[in-house]
Amino acid sequence: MRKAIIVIFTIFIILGFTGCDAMLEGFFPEFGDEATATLEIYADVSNLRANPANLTVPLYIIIEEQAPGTKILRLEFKVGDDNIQKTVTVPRRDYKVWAVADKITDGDIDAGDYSNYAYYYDTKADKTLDICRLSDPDVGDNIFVDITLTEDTNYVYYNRTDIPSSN
Amino acid sequence: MKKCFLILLALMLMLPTGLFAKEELELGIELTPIGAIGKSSEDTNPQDIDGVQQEPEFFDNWLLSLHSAYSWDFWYASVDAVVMAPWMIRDMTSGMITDPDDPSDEIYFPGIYAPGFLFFFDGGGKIEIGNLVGIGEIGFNWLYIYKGMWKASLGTNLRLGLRYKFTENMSVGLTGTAIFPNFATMFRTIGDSFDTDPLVRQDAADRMKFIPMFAMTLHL
Repeated sequence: MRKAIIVIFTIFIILGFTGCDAMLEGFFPEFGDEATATLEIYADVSNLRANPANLTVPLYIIIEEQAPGTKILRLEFKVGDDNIQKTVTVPRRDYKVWAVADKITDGDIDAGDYSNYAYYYDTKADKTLDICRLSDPDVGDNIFVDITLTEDTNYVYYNRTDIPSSN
Repeated sequence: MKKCFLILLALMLMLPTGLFAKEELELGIELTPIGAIGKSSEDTNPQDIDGVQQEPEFFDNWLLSLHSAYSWDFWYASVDAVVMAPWMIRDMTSGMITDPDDPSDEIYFPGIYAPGFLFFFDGGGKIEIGNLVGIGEIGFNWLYIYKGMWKASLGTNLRLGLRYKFTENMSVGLTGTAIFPNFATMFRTIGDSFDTDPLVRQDAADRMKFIPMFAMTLHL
């Protein structure tokens, strides 16, 4: 009897470990849904003015999936462009979107630079102006990033995002 | 050492008295209101983009623990898995970290937003007096985050439980779990709680915060 109980107990533990993710997906279905949503990201840069006018402006849209990782999109545009558009497919779960830009210089940012701005509470977070949290995004949801240029600092800022209903 | 010897001797003398539980397997669940860990559903339930509080779900209000144990004679071994909601994992994993690009600086790490399990692996003793079951055990904690994003040993625990068997195979009761950073701190705190100085005892009590769990257990 004791051996039988020990065997059952051992199997239970092993199943518990191997089935951890399945159990968690059962408790939190949003993490088990493999379906994806397509997000279209627009940056309206038609009002952007800078001097000289032909500088390239790097724009990072950081999509922080709450699990399991982070996507970083780099969109690049020039002053005078009407708008830029990017479509990205993400898992259907909660995530945050960060819009980050660097100072307008030569348009080149080292790979590590963005991390200084990607953290919402970083001391340099004044460069990270907008954050929106989407819950259960639907296919076709759009994120609009309106961009303006402040004349005194030469920084690109991102104003309010708008998320129209897909309905 | 002398105390340990006396305790062991007392246990050996009690062996034939029938106070010890028979060999059995336990499966059960334990529930803790999140108020017991100093949280409210407003803390755990985020606002949507318009600042509207969302409807709280089960894991915004409760901690759920899955319990399994095996006992024979006096001895008792258990594995408990506390279901950690994403907000709990984020709270635990967020904070200031060293900037990988500039080790002299610190940056804010927003944490991992994913569910997980906090496991308690424990061993100890169990005594039955009539329909009452008393349990005391110690062990270590282990954290698992969804998809194996993080697996880590996470301190130690002391668990005390009291249950009432209302049938041969079912019981309800209360379990208290205190978390410590390591075994040395745990033993020092337990030792201090028996100190003759009331100030030391009070200090130990302040450090030994038990998280209550309501337990419903099946005895097989």
